[in-house]
Amino acid sequence: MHMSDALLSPVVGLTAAAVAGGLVVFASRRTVAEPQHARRVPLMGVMAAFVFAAQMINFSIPGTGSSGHIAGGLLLAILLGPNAAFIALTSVLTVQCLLFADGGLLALGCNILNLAFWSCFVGLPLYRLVSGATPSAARASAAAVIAAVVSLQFGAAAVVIETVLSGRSELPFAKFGAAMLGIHLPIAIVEGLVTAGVVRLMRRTGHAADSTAPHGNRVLVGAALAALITGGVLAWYASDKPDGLEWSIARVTGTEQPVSAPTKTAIMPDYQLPNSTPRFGLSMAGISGVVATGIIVALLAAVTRLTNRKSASSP
Amino acid sequence: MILDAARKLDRLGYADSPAHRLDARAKIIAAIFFVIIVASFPKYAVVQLLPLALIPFLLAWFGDTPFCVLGRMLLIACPLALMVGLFNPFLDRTPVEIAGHELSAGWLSYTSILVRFTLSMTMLTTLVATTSLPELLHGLRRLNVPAALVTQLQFLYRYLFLLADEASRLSRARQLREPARRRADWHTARAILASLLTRATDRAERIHLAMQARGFTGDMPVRDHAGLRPADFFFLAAVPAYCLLIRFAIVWNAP
Repeated sequence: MHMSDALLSPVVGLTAAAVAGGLVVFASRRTVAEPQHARRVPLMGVMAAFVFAAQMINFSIPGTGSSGHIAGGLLLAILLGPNAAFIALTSVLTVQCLLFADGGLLALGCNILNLAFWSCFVGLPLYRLVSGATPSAARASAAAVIAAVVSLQFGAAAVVIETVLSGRSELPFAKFGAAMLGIHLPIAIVEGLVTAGVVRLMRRTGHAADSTAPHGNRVLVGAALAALITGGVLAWYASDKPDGLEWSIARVTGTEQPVSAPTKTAIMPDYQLPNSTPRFGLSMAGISGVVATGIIVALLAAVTRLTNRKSASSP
Repeated sequence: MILDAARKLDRLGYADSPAHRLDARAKIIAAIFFVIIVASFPKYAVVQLLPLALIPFLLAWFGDTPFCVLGRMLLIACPLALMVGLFNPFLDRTPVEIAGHELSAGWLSYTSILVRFTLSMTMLTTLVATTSLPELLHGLRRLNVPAALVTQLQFLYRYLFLLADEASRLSRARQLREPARRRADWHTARAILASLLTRATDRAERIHLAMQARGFTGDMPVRDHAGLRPADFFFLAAVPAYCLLIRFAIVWNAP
């Protein structure tokens, strides 16, 4: 899901590049300041190279008949910690852009935001939150799946938002978004399961490098804010035009009300809260979507924590 | 395979030609400027974009870049643009008239996406084909990209093909042990990945010891030699000037 230069407007591309650049500077300062930095430099480099090698290992995905490989973002985050992993993933995306024709110069900022930011600064804190210090196998897997799903879904949503804001493609926001999120859900689950498995095998052989202690809460709050802003503010702008596909259906069929989605069963039909001005409604829908996701994740975390405590107290 | 294509492209950067001798910084800035200009054209621009092809063409010409390499990278390149753009003709049916034929505007914007894609991808490929990666990274460092990231990129570049070879050896070992299965199932893949990762971390530990013995403290030295030469200044002035000329000075009657 690498973003391409051809789909971007300069404003979107350069804004993303500026934000990504700021994050790179921030993460560089943090990594360099961490103790044992010099020792970790070769490890970071080799791990980034490992991501390329890992993407060559294709395996069949059970029950689907298709095959895939892991993307490796979450694995790097777990093994290196957020800042070092962010630098390592940025280097991976840069080399993919330069040598492997994945993405482009203008799209590099977007790709860093879509593919590196979420797994390092949202997925990893989530993983740590859910898995705890010494997780059981099942709990580590659950944590990895949750983290992978959340970071990949945010990444896919970011691709959609960037594409729609750029206005080079005619794809309607809602339909494109649904397709992207849908495709990336099973991918994320497999990614999470394999990542957890690899981490477990590494721990068993004593090779899992200890990433530095989590300062999870602050990062998590930041991530939550970022998500709210994305959901609320960007939805505001994304709604400038009526949904393109519905519009074209209306043109074709000659009716103003197209064969509509199940407006009665959906809580927020067409991402609109009832009785509100369209833009405000859309922003609210975006924000409440983010909040709802957050609540679900928090509940899952609480449940796994509870079960883990039980299994820990009873020998 | 994609890896072979990447290897070949990487090799090209080490040749010597007028284009290779240009300073990496000049080429990086010019390429970024070019890509921004390409993206800034209005949605339905097609013919207006074409004169820009001159820049990557000349760079490839003076850099002895085989055109088949440019073509191959275009083919490999991410299909996202093609897929996502493919819906334009069906969603944007505003009629426009081109050379006496009536066409839906969506076809025009789709063609525009393809042209943009070709231009920016070709520019990127010629940049890499005329600049070796170490030069490119050195240029980035001197353009004030954080040292941590550049060092990271240098390490990645050094070990990328090495670990890729290790992965293909592991893959072949698996194929020999279970020839009936074309692809690993995911338990096997997990074990292969863990083994690859173990070797990688062990390798990192050895590298660390070796580098420590040579006085490494976390930063690669930057050689601070030649400044920009007249040819670099010319290139750095000519490319943006030409881009701006095509973008703004010549008035096209755009649809």
